[in-house]
Amino acid sequence: MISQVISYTSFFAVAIGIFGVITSRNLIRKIISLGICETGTTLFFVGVSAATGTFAPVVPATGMAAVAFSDPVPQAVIITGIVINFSILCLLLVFTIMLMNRYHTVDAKTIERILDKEE
Amino acid sequence: MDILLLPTLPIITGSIAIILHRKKRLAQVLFFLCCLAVITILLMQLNQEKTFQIGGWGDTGITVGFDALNLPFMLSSIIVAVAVSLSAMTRATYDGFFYGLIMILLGSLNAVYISRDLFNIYVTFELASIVGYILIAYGKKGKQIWAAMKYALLSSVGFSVFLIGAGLAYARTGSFSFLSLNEIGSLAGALIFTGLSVKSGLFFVSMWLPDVYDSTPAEIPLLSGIIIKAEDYLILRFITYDSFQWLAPMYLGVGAISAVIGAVYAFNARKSQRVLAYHTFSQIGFIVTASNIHGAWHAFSHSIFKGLLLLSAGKISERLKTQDLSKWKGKMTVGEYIPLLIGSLAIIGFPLTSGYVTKGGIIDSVPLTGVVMLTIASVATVISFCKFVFIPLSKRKLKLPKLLIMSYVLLSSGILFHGVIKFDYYKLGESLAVIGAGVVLYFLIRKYFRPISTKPEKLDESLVLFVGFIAVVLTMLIL
Repeated sequence: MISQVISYTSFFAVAIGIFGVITSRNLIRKIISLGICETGTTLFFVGVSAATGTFAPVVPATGMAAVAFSDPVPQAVIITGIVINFSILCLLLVFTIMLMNRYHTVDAKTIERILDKEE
Repeated sequence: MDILLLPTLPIITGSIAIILHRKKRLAQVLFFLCCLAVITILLMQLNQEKTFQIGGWGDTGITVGFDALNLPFMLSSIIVAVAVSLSAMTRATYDGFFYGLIMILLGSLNAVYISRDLFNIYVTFELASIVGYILIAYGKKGKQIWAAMKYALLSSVGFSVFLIGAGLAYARTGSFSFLSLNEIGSLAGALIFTGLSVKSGLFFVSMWLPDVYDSTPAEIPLLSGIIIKAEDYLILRFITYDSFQWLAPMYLGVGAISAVIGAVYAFNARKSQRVLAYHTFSQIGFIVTASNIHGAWHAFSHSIFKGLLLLSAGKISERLKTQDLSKWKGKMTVGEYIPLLIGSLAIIGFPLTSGYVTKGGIIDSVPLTGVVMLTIASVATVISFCKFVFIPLSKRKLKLPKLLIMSYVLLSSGILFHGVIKFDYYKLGESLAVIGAGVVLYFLIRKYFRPISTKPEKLDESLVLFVGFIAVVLTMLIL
């Protein structure tokens, strides 16, 4: 049940993120939307791991209790995904700073117009 | 275990080269040693098939493997990387950092090729892409940064979709391994295919590509070309599994349409690098239409002849300071023209070149509708490469740098060697008929060539096209 709620919320977040990337003209907003979209995918993996239960998959020192552990594998792999997403966002922000220094704007349409005129 | 060295060796040497990036000579020496080692290991794997798991985790762990489908891709990426660095050594602008980046790119691409599970594909492919973004923005010109930005935004959205697909596959089967790809279901298959397609170089989904090609110096498009090939490898690999079989008509349709539209855009374009970029759309269309081992070998020959074309055309446009083909008249010297001619002959499928061999294989292996579309695309290819072949030359002699000539020789010998050893006669008439028709059509309709609008290549429009493509595939799934 909780797994399904998380999964559908994450699809919604991804959809909002993609919508934001397409509709906003400001590059910073585009990057924030991309962040929402990528966080959505992370949340989806949390939902996948919660399908078998919600207890932390840690064996206590007092011995195993028969509770519904969550699946550790999706949690383990998505950490790599978080790091990669973070680094991509950083790289995109660096590109934005470089564009801002050259053209003094973060508006995607304006930058494209300036680049067309440069030719 | 020796195939594990294919990714790890270049990444380790690449990291050393980046740490010692002030010592440019050392980085170059390390690069060539590393390429030599990788080629030796690769040649030892010839005609072998193997898969094994690392660690004691079974299907949950990391699976790697090597088979006949890998070989053309790995071979082409290393040949192109060597050619790129030979050409880069003639310039002073590239420091040790550049060679380190190429090595890391090579290593991560090799990791994509040997991985046999979805999450490894994601991690290694993102690593290759990040190196790709940095290489595209390497010149720090406004246009290059914009091209890298567009590429990064589009492919990050694509990778998010891919990750959702991978998560669904895990939820269904409890494993990321390729062994369970037969049971992941068509929704996960559709998301994985569309998410990765943004890098594939197909028309409609990879509209970032022309900007990358026409804004960067001659060497960079070759490297972004081999990243594209990694994605085409994944398309070719996935089609063999049940969950992707229902997409086969989609592959055929999208590939054939991309082949034709790319070529039509190309013969209307005026700038040399844009013509070549649109032809990438067209040739990737050929590969995806076939989606079999012939497609894989066409990817090999495409990497090499397109590399030769991009390198020679890029060098000419840098010397003349214009990419406009009409301004090249009477300024190109013989030495610059020969590699351009060999590349053009290969891409139009002239006998005794690699293009003739692999295009023949593709035409034989696709259904009839595919054959018709691909023949139209081949004629259109001939039309647009007549623009390169029929440029009047200048009488002046120009001395090219020795390393650049070596790089041209390496790529052209690849083309001719592949073309001569696999040559056979039965496609000869067909190929010459296509070339004849193309040349005649070129002289008839060349007055009417006008560049088609570049509106679909703008950032927002290319995103809309990509999301529209996802929507179309998902609609097909529901119907």
